[in-house]
Amino acid sequence: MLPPSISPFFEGFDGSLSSYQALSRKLEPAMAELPEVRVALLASCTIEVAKAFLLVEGARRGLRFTIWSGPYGQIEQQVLDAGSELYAFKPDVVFILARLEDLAGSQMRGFISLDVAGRAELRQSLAKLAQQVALSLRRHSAASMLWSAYVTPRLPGVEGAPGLFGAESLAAFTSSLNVATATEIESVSDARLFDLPAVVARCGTKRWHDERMSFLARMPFSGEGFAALGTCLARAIRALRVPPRKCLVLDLDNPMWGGVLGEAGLGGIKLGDTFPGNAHQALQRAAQGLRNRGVLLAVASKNNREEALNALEHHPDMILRPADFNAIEIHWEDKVTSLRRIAKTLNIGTDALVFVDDNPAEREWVRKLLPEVAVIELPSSVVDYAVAIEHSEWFDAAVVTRDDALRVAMMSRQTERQALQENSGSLEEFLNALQMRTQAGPVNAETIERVVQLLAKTNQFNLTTRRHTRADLERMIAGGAVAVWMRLADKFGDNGLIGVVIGVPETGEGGLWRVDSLLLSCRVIGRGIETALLGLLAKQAFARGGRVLTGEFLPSERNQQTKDLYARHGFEPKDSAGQFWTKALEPLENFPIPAYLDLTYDD
Amino acid sequence: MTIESIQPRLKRVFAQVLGLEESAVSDATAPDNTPQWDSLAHLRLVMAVEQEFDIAIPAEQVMDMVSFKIATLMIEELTS
Repeated sequence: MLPPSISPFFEGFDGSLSSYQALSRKLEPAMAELPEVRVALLASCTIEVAKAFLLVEGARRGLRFTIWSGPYGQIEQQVLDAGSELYAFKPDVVFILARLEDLAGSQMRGFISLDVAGRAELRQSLAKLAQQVALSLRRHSAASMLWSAYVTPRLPGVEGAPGLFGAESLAAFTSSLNVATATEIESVSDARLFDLPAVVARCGTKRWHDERMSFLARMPFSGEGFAALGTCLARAIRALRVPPRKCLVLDLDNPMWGGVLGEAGLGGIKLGDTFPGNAHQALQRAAQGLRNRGVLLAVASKNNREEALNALEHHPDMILRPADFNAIEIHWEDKVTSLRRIAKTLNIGTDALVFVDDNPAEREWVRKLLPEVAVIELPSSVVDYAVAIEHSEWFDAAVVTRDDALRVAMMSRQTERQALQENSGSLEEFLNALQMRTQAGPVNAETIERVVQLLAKTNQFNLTTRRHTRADLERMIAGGAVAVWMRLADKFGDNGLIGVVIGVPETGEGGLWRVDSLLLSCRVIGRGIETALLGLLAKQAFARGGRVLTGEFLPSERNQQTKDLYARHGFEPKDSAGQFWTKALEPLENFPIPAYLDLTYDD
Repeated sequence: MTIESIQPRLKRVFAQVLGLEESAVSDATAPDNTPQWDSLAHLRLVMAVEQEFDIAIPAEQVMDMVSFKIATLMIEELTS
């Protein structure tokens, strides 16, 4: 994750507080080419010390953080005032840390005398306060908001027995407050809780607090605490900004099981419920967990193919079976060839792969020839393998939707689809034989999360590759843009939400509409979905007074296959570069929707 | 710890936190002659020094660490 351009700066970095300070100073001028994320920090206490840690941890993850921190205790003032320094800074992410001690100190100190109704009222008013802040932020900015979940306050003397988690305890109240706050805040787009209690747990409660600095400087956290905060916050911000990798590629002999199958045989490899077989099972379960939330799995291993497939199929303690893998490369060719083939089979880029192999030579070979592949450095002991995948952060995803899980089941049927295609004569016949049913509708609260996700990660069939955030898109729709999603099911199963088109009315005369974005999930390319999306947009633009549609193609490294899309749909080129294309919306029959798609439109 | 064993390590910490060359840090280095040494840098210095030498400076003394020389003596006392 550390970009090669800045990795030399990390040589000699030992993680001490002083080396964070020194490194942050050196990195600042050296990161010009990394993507910038403007991060605003607001807190009820002094938090400025977090800056250096956050900057270094962001750089480690390939992001250039420009950080501003507000004066302590001014959360509401900064967020409510449209003319505040916060908004002048133009943040992409706003991190807010409000301590319960500062926010509701007197109520907290009198906690023991509050009755059930009083506590419920306090809980609700605090949850609403966070929501109000989020709403106000949303009015003035499209920045993502992270509001820190509350940590149980340390209030000496308030509670009788701090070790007990009674239903009426301060700890129980804090937990329920966090749930209530998450519920309120998530009603606002791109606003979430940040798991501060997990940061404290990582650091250790005892080491997190610094009573001295709290009294001396209103800075209640230790240096180590700030370092832990910087690390966890950088990770969370990366998850908000960078989509997860799509596929985990596993080697077989150690990591998947212990020992060498070719030598030990099916009965001799180590896999089962005792050590070390249980640690190998834990790695397989971690991969299974990723699969359940939409990550594709593949094998790249040097083994005898039949023997290895037999082990995967028949070993009684195997967690992952051959059917769980979307691509399998087992042979004696090199791993770079295997990885390239896997990417091709799955119709994804090699930059979407994460590679796990216990052999340092294989890792080095892949790093050298395919630097875009993420290579996980396996720890020396098998007990740490499963955690290493989690710690690699490559599969971090801010949002996991139901469609992610659907996609995996769908990909497994992709091979069946290919077989059907080979057995069908004409393309028309094939498309009819698929028995497709499509559904489309305007982007709304229920679909926007998945739509934004698709905008963020679609590379190949994407005409403009504009990565709108949820707030951007909401703003566009409020401003008159038309955004339409499409779902597709066929005889092999539900593909989920697979296509999006966004049209924007241009200012001025002539009823000009522009296609801001047009994209398809790569697994449904070649079925005429794009024709249907253009048809849907044309109809809606026309109904809103549109008379001419302008298409746009912005070339990227990956979207070459879409460069003739507008030509194929009868648009006239407006420039020699092939960027802008136009077509009259009248007659609307020139924007047909293929009948075999069996489309229904939900208003 | 002896002054001799404290000073090279402490110089590195001061240089890293304040953004100075190690050679520019001397016994006389103090907030008065070092513009980088503001109140926030002071807190950073205290935290970094404590971590480097595995000590805890008592609250009453945190604000007394007003030169490199004094820091050296404080560490000598706290590690003896």
